Amino acid sequence: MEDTKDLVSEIQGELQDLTTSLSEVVKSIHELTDPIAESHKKIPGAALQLEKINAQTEEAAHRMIDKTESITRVADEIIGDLGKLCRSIPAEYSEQNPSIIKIAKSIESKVRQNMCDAEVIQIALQFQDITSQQLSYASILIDDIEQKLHNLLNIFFGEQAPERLISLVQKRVFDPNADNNPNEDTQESVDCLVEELKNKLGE
Amino acid sequence: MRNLKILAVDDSPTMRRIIINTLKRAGFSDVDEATDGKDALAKMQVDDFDFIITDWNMPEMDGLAFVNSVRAEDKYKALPILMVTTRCVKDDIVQAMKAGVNSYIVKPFTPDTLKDKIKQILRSR
Repeated sequence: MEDTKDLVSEIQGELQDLTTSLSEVVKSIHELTDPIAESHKKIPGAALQLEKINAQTEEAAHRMIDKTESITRVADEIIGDLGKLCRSIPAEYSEQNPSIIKIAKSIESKVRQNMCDAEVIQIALQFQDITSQQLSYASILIDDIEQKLHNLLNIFFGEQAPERLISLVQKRVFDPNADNNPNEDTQESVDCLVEELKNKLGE
Repeated sequence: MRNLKILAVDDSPTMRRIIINTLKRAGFSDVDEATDGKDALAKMQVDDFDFIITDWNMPEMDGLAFVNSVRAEDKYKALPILMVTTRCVKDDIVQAMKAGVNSYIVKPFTPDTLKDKIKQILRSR
């Protein structure tokens, strides 16, 4: 009888330990899963932020293009008006005042320089398309992380796991290697390869 | 040469504007635009184009599929096609050339590169 009592007490003790240790395990699981669930919840915000950056750079690029188009249009008008002005000056007068034509040519040259600068600015805005592709790639990576976090939550919570967040990433095709600063000789190398291929393919 | 009717195909509105403006500065004023290969094919049904400039990475129908579709039609066998893309891996260029692209430009490009390639393609025809 004493032996049975000891055994029961021993089992009770073990059960108590087991309960305590299970509580610890549950606490540890919560410590582990809470940050996962928290990170999981933050994913759409991160994806949306990338979309927002993309939309804003697109908008800014268009505003810049509007400006460069306007500069070019005005420059064209100035060159046209200068031409008209020069043609309207009587030959006698311009012969007596050669500096007039010289000044007109200098103005035209400066206006043309402005047009070239506007073109350089516009061409530099290609960064928007390239950055947009890089952001799309980052969005896909975030989407992948969300899937992995969701898989982890499924392991811990089964059917009670939070639902897979519907991807807020705008699906866009992109080149993951898109680069704003390719090597200076990239186009040259491409040209060489193109020529080589043309010869091979018999064009 | 300046009377060419050009179709610029790119899903990025910024890139389309840059390409069109660069072409206009170079004297090519007759330029139409399409947002992807499918849109471009639809435009080619209604209009005759003398020159195509296309991106590669686009939704619906990408540049490579577009070039393949164009070259599949006899009437477009000689139509000049210039690919302008960020993709510069050797295998990509090989694929594009096999599909029937006449020349290949890597983004970001310079206005001179675009003008030179157009002239080069036209001279070789």
